[in-house]
Amino acid sequence: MVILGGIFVVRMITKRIIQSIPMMIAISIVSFLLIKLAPGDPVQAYITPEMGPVQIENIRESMGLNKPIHIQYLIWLKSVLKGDLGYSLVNHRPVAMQIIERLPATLGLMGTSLVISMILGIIIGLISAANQNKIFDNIAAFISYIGISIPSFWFAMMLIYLLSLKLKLLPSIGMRTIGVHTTWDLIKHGIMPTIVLSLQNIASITRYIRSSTISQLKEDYVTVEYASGASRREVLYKYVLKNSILPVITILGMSLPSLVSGAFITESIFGWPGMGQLGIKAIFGYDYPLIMAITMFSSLILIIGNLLSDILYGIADPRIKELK
Amino acid sequence: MNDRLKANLKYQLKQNKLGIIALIIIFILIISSVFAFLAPHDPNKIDVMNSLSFPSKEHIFGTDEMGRDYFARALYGGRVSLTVGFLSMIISTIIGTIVGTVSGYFGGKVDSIIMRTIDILMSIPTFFLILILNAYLKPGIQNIIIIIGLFSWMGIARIVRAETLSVKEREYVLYSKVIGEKSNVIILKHIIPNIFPTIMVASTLNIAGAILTESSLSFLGLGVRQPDSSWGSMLKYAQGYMGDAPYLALFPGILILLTVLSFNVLGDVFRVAFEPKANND
Repeated sequence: MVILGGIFVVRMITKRIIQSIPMMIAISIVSFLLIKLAPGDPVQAYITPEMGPVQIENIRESMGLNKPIHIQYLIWLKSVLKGDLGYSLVNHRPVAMQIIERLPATLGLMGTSLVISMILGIIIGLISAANQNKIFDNIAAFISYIGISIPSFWFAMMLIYLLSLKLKLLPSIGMRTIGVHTTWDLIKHGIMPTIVLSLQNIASITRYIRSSTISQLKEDYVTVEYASGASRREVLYKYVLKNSILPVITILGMSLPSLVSGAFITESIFGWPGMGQLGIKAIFGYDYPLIMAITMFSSLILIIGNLLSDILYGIADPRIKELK
Repeated sequence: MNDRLKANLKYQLKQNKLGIIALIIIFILIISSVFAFLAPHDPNKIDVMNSLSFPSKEHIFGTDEMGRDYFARALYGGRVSLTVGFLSMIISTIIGTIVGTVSGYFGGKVDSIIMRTIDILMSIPTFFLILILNAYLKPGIQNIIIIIGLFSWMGIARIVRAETLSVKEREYVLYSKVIGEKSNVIILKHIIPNIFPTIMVASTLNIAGAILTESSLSFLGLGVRQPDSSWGSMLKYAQGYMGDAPYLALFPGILILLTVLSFNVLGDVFRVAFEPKANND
């Protein structure tokens, strides 16, 4: 049985991975076309007033901008697959290198806030469900409403005003103080960005867990447990928890898009040196290669995240042996 | 919408005080942005002598860095934010409803192609795409509305598809098929009216999302730009005066929060009223 289950899981994983390949191709085409069809001439960045039309044309030629668009795409795709993402049009550094430099900061921020929002969301959701319509539940419900409705950049501004400007507790910008290399310094810089990035997810996970727990509480097995003398606490933490935790894996996939979008805003406000901040800079600088690479990378994060959550779900839930 | 749903909605609004408050807030916001021109001050009148003055009886929200009355600017900003929210909701609701019903009704290949496309669109961080498009297209409220509308229909389409799948098996739809009614007639006459409540829930929540997206875009400087202003773009400028005039950041932010919150609450009230199964309270 174990072996059979193992085969199923392997087959499911292979199937899911194969399914995501056309997705990646489509995403690369979409992002390439979108950026290619956009106005704003990248050659402008290289032109100085004394250049003649011939020189300008040479630059255009050397950048491959004269070739047909599908050839440009294939050239780009080929080099992408080799790991070469081209050079930034603004600072002429390799794009791949810039992204790799920035990735740890982004993944660190996203990972921390994912873990924090999962833990808090599950705890608050469970307590809310157990105390349905009591004070705790009502307060939590109201706060989660605010959490999903507050513009994250404004929340960030208010935090900066309160904690940095007024109380002078936390630094408002960057990831480290120059010249200081302590973990505590990193944590201090990370607190506000993490709070801002987590808030929306805490709120939506809380709401999700609350409603899934409440619907579990209505199941027959709960009545049976009560009837056979189990205490409320026992029912809640021994049986219901196990069943209402399963959707958490789905939530993991669900909360990724908001994490990725959130990272663009949060990183820009707090000057967090991650991929999101780089992306916004690239947009303002009409930096095609960088924009394409960031679109690809952030889509990749989403696809891999969804893949992982599907696979985890398949392993955790014995009822799903094969995904359609 | 049938009488049972109307009765449910009335009951829910009576039960849920938050719902009533949300409805009142939305009503006030709409009225005040429609009648923004009645504001006591001109939102564009520059008065440098009076710049960054604290909220007072004369200027209840204070004045900005150029001495313009912040209350009048907030009213006009609200007009822009609400317009963007409503119009882009209409675009995405129309697209989402068409795509969702077609996908659910016809099923098979059509369905799987559409659903795959939605999967792909949903695995691109759409916020970043919207940012890119806004940066490259001519800035303007019109473009923002279209872009947000074009990139936020996928959720609606999925919900509509799921509903269509269940509605299309009902007797009256099967009957219409048997008597040879055309597919587009069946969709328009029998399916859409029946899933309308679901569409209404999704589109109410969609307004909230669109307003949030617009404000983030404008805050980053890639949305509504001068001379127009929205709550988001007001916050962009307020950022530079956090030390001297924190109230500049306070008012537009609270207004966005209240608006989005009200639409989210209202969407939930609709949901509980229209889908009794969703009622967990």
